[in-house]
Amino acid sequence: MKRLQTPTALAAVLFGFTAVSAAPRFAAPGTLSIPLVDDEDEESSEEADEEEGPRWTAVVGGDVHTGLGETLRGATVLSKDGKIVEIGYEIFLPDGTEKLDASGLRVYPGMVALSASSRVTQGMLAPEDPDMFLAEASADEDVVEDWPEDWGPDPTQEIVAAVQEDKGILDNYDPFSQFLIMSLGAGITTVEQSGSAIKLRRDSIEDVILQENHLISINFGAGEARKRTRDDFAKAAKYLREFREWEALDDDDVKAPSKRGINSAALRVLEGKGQAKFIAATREQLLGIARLAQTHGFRPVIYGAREGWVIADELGRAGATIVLTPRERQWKDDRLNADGGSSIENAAKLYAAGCQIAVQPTSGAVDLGGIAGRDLLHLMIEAGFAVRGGLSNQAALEAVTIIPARVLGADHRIGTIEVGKDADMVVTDGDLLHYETFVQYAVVGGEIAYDKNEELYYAHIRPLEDTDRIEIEGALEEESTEGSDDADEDSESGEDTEEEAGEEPEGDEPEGDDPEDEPEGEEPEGDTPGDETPPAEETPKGGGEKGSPQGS
Amino acid sequence: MIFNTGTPLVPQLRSRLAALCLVLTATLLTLAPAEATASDLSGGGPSLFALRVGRAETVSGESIPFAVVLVENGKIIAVGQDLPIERGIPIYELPEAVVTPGFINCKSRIGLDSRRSTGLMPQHRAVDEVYPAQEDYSDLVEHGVTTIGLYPAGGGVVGQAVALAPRGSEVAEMVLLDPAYMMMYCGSDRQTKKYLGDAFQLVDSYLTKVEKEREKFDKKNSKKKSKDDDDDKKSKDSGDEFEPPIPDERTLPMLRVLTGEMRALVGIRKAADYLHFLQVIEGRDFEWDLAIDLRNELDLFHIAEQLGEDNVRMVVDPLITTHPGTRRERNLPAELAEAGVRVAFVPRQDSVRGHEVWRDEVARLVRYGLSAEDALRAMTLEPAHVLGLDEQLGSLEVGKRADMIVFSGDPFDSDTKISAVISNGELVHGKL
Repeated sequence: MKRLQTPTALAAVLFGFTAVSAAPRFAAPGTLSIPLVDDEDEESSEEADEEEGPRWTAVVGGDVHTGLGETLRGATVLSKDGKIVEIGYEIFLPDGTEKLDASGLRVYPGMVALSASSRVTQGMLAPEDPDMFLAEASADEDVVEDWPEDWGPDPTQEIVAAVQEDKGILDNYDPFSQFLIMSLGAGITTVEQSGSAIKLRRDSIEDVILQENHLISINFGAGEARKRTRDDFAKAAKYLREFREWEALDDDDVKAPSKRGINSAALRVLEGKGQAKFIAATREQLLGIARLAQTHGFRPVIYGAREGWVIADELGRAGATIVLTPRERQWKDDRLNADGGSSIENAAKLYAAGCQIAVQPTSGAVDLGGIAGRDLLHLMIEAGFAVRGGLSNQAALEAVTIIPARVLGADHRIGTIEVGKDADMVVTDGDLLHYETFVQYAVVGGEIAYDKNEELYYAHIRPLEDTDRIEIEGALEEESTEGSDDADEDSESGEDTEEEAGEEPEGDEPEGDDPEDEPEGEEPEGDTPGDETPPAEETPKGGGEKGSPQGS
Repeated sequence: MIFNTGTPLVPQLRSRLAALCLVLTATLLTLAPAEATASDLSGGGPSLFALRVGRAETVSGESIPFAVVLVENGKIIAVGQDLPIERGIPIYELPEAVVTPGFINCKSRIGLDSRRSTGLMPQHRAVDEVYPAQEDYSDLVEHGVTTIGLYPAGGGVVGQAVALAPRGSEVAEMVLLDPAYMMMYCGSDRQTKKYLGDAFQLVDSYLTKVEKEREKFDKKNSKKKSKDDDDDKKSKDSGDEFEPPIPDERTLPMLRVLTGEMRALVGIRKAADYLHFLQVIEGRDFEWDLAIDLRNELDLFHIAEQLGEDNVRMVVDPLITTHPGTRRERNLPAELAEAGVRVAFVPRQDSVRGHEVWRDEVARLVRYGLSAEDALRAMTLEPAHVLGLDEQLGSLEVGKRADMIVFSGDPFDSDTKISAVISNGELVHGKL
């Protein structure tokens, strides 16, 4: 045991492996990264946690709906520096872990909102400050740029600007935007802004872009555009064939085929550098897209697809991903002698035919005026309507989590609760898609980004009885009951006691070896092993308070 | 500190008094008896006089009951409780009065026109716009404002502000400090961040240029013989001393800012702007304060703690605001002060009328939780800091300029009137 000097590290490894065996599906061994704090001793590791050391956070004891179809009842999700490192039961929580007690609550992956208004991350641009922002266009020769344009509250302008330069999103990001907070409160932790996936971080303005420009917009609207698009794809495919042949030839004397006249968007799609995005509603448009996709062997993403249910099998064969709004309502065109118009079964039928379904609300704005319940804040309810139309609950959950993440090309980081992915989760008091459900906490990058009790929007509606659910692992039990506000002070003032707590299991170190060898398979749902493992720093479930170390 | 019992004074104070006494015995022996109140301070009033008041709010230290303030040649030369006053010095006996430092509005456009421009213009100077001897200025004095900081209007890096005493018929007479600070704005948008970044870039590229020149110079010197192969205007003589190239008119003021010679006042609009500002300055170390216009739904409370930890000074207007999305009211200035932010107030309306109601507005915040000390400090010493005049103004301290307001009672009581305003030792408004 020389290589592991601290019982902390030992236990972490130990329980890391037991967790893997318990829930092999979630803990891909390759991505399991357990802290091997070999060089640190107890005293310094405690400080390091507060300063430059890894940041541990855990959502403890909730019913974890992973988004993959499974539910782990009363499980714990441990994350380190914003990435999930362990999911399961009896997980060892390092000292200083910030714990969110989710017992009695449900944990879902954070929702991903497509086509969200840019105001979500930019905030309500407000005050007309005449001095700074609304300078009358004076004929001053020193006017370098038209100021009001830059500050102007016109969101379309901002979108245009953001598209022109992607960095715009970062330059405008407002972590205190009301819309952002409300979106988190609606269960959304990632939004699409101008084709990029943006994480709704509250703690920083850095590292908010998850994925940029994954979608490639293809115009397949009116007749002329359609023809052009078909030609573009045909040319691009031809070029690609020639290029591959030339490549295979590997002959310096032969010239590479010319790229001239090749549509770069079509080429990028065919090269697999991004996903083709279409906006289409009617049956014949959709048919055209499906055939184009099948001809050239790519999988389209289709926004809208109102009449998709009529030709669901065709879209399924094309491997289409459909981004739809279940509550969309429009009569069919009376001139057509075929099925058409909107259907509440759209999502269900397309899903049954093999399409991937993502749900977006009617409006991507955060808007409390107009028709209530159809804006970004009601994404969960929109998905609920897909269920009403026959879609399974699981498919509806995927339609607001992993599928939109895939649409944005960010499914390697978000969309499900899995080891190795970002710790972006929402903690709710009921089924995510139920109209009665409130998001109690939103966790983004392991940090609590939204707390219903703290924000004043919904705090007064059906409040939880025990609101004091956040505490720090390793703080003394008596102190931790005093309240989460004092948690920081506790961990500082209670340094001595913490050290003791850290030392106590040291005596158990040899004992700790035994369970390491025997964990195979016998870790059902967290009943027995919790009792026999010596350094039981954590309670089986819903604890919030740590069990007393048995070594004492 | 009780001076009338014969306890030694603060040494500095005592030496000053001693010196004073010498002067007095030499010059003032023949003057009128001590109690004779001087007739008129405003014109050729006495250059030396004493105020004996019910209370002096020194701002820098404690508030002093039964205080005496001794003024000579426009400077405060002694402040203390029941100080002994040399015979012959005119004394104004105001047992009910409260005296405070003169109010300072550090960010104003009063008396200036509405011309504005946007861009990277650090060379602009507000002093060029000043038209002296306007009624506006003399009206300000009536409301206790003895110093104003005028800033150039516009957006981006707008230029240099000037600190004035709002009285006098010539600009030179009015100016207290020019330039006082560099006005700039930073928002959560690409354009303003670019202006700011470009401004720093000016200095960076200048400094690299200087470095290159220096290398060249050193090389030349080491060879002892050189050819003039570079095209610039200077450093061609093989002089002994290296002379850095002269920065251009835009670079120079920015250089002053970054070397700490000039302060900066950074206008922001919301909490996120502060984070973006920190991102833009990339840890550059220079003296800056923030300015923000309070408004309903302002989200500043999110960063109050961070601002306090960063020891920020913030220019705000005295306003009760609402919490975003609700009608719940927040006293942001009080919250900021609580968090350790050094708050400086400006009137909500930048007009004479605005200055008239300024004290009432602040009084309202005091009623709702802001401490009276913080409030008074935010109208005097903190704005003096913003202007870079904290050594000269903003408190009743020995050696500072004698800018004072004499109130009929507590400054934040609604029925308290300003009975006199003294600027630079002269009575500029009211009666003593």
